[in-house]
Amino acid sequence: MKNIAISWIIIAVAVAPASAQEYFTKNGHIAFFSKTVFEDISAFHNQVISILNVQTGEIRFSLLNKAFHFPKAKMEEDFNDEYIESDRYPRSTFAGSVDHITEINFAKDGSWPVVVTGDLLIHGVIKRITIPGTLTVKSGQISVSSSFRILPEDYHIKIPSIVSYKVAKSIDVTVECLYQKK
Amino acid sequence: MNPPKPLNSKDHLLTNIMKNKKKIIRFSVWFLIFLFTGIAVAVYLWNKPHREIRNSHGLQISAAALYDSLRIGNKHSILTFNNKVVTVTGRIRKILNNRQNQQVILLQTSREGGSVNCTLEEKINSTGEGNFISLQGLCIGYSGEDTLMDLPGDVFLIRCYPLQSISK
Repeated sequence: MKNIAISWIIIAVAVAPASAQEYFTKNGHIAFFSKTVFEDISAFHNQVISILNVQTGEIRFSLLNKAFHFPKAKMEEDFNDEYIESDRYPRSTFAGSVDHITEINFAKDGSWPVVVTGDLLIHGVIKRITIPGTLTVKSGQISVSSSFRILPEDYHIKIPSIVSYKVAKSIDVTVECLYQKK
Repeated sequence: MNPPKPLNSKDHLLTNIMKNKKKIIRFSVWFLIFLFTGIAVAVYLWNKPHREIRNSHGLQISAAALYDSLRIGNKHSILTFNNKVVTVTGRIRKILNNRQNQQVILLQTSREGGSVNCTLEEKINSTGEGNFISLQGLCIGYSGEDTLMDLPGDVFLIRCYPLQSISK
C-alpha cells in the first residue's frame, strides 16, 4: 500500500511540472507585407495557434491559410487560389525550438532576445529556418514577437509574370503571440 | 499634253486610307469599346468588395453540432461548412481581445477546452460569459488539435457579427 502511494506521488511529481510548463494561444497574430514601387500588399491573420514549452523550448505554430485577411477581396482570392493554393495546402506550420531557453528567468518580468530554429512549412514545402525574436514576461504572462523575411520562390510559390512586378521578391513577416497557461 | 504621273507609294497609301476610311473608323470604335470594357472589368474586379457576411443567409447550427461535425472531418461536413457563412448559437465560454483589439468569443462545445472561436468585427458589451449568443461569420474550419500537448482544436469563424444575445 505504501509502495503504491509512493508510486503515485512520483508519477504526479513527474507529470505536473510538464503541463505547468506548457503555454498556448489560439488567437495569435501574423502579418505579412510586400513592398514594391508599384504596390504595397499587406495581410494579417488573428487565428494563429501556437504552443510553447518553456522548459524544453519547443515552439509550434499552425494556421489555416484561408483566414489571411487582405484589404482587397481580389488580393485575398488570388492569394488563396493562385499563390498559396489554400484548398490543396490548407495549413502553414512551424515547428522548432527556442535556443537557450533555460537561461530565461520566467519568474521575473523582462524581455529577452531569442533565436528560434525550426521547420517552416508553406505551400507543401518544408524549409529549415533560423529567426530572431523577443520573448517577454510581464506579470506572469508570456508573449513572443518576431520579424523575419521569407522568399516565395523558396516555397515554390509562383507569381504570374504579368503581376510579378507588383509582388516583392522577399516578404516581411511579423509574429506576435500572447500565451496562456494550459 | 503631259501623260499622267504614276502614283508614288505615299499617294497609294492615302488612296487606300480614303477607300477604307469606313472600315478603319469601324475598327477603331470596336477597339476602343473592347479596351474600355476591359479596363472597366479589371477595375471592378480589383475593387470588388469582400464577401457580404452580416446580411447573408447563414447556415444555422449550434456551436456543439458545428464543432462535432468539423472535428470528425468527414468530407461532407467540410464541404457543407468550410468557407461558408454560418449562423452559430451557443453559450459563451470566454470573451478575449486579440492583438488588434478585436473581440474574440469562445462558444462552448461538448468537448472540454474545444471551442467555436469567433472573431468579431464589432464589439458587443451587452453580453457576458455564460450567456447564449447567436453569431454570424465565415467558417474557415477546424484546427489546432495538438496530441503531444493534449490540446483540443477549435472551429474558427472570422468576420463575425452578433445576431442575438440571450441572458443565462
